[in-house]
Amino acid sequence: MKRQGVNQNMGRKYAKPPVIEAVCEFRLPPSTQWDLTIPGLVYERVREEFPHKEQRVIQNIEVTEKPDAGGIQHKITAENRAWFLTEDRNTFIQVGTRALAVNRLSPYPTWEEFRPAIEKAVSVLREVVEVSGFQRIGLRYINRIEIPSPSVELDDYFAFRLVLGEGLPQLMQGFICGAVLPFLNGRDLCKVELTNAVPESQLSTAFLLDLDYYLARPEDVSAEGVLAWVEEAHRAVEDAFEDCISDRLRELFEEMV
Amino acid sequence: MATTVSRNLQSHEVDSHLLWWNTAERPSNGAGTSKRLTDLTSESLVTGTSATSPLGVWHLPHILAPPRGSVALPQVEEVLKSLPQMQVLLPRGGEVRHYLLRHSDLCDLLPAICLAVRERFGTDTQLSLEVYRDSEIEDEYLTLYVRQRCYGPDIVEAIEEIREGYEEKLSGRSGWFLVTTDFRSPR
Repeated sequence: MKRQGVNQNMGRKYAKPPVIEAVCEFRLPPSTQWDLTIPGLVYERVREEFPHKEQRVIQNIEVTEKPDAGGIQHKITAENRAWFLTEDRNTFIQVGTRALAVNRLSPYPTWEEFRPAIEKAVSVLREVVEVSGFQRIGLRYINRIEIPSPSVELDDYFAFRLVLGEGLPQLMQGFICGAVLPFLNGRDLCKVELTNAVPESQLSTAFLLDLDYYLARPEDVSAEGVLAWVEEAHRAVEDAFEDCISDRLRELFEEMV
Repeated sequence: MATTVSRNLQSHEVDSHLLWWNTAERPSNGAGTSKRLTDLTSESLVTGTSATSPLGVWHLPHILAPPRGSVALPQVEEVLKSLPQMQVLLPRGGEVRHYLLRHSDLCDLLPAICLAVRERFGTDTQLSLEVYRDSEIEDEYLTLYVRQRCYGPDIVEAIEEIREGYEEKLSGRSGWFLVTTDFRSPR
């Protein structure tokens, strides 16, 4: 049985990593004191590395039970967020109400190059806000995988995939498959999702492999322990990614040995 | 069951922070007065009922609303998936994806503009979404090329009319989107 929390794959490196977007997100509990000056205070401290600032409005979807309305009700709320971007726009920090996220777009460098941006953002947040804990911490990697073939057998490339019963049509027009997997005795969860995507060529097939690793028991991580959690999360996501793919995909990504 | 409703649902007043659905009331009901969602465009309004959800779910796929969540990719992929339905070509989809990931605040406008262009020019006109790069200055932006086998005298005027319909909405966005023609033959 594989031990959780141990990097089984010792950080494989690829010449063509499939990561198209990585994001580390922190959400603070409702009790956290927050005001409109905070994004500005964050920007003052990061502007050297993240000179561009923009404002975006994002949608949050909340699902609540409303027995008198027939069961479940969906609510969209709009949230203003400040975005602070690097010169090349490949990395950016988002600051919303009690929310901080650090995004890295492709070309994804290495964890050693992405992690400092996360550390910086968290450190700055703790300078300007009294952080007693986190409501949610998540580290998400979305991989876009393009295979140069108009049709593929999923089990040639993926260890995480759909299995169709023999009586079902074996050619799929589209699919989604996912699972929520527990880690570290349920302290953390990882949502793994594989879907088809729009290929760039009619001669190829594309997929999105989305791994969203997050803290399920917020009380288990203190403000001081958050970066250690992020480091553990990265090791776990890296392992999970490798356990979802086959050597044939590693060849496509051109593993650097 | 999908029901196609009117293409342009104009000026629905909604509360400044909330848009309700999955209730017995349409989204515009129970509205406040502080914000107006204009040009709410829906290609299809899906109502579905089941044993577990008797009131059904209203789904507005092309609502001109802001992007969702902390990740940019899902909304970019949604936009790219919608383009073939409007017969918009993506000769270099990777470049368009790359641009939209960095300017994801364009995602809510793109499908509606492409649809408006398609409706204006019909199915015989080729539409191609590409990233234009200016070789003389460091500038790039998204461009929707309108290409016809035989160009009529009014094409420039028609494109300008379309631009007038959306350029104001681009104000304040991080990127730029241009509808134009290069007078080339369809590829």
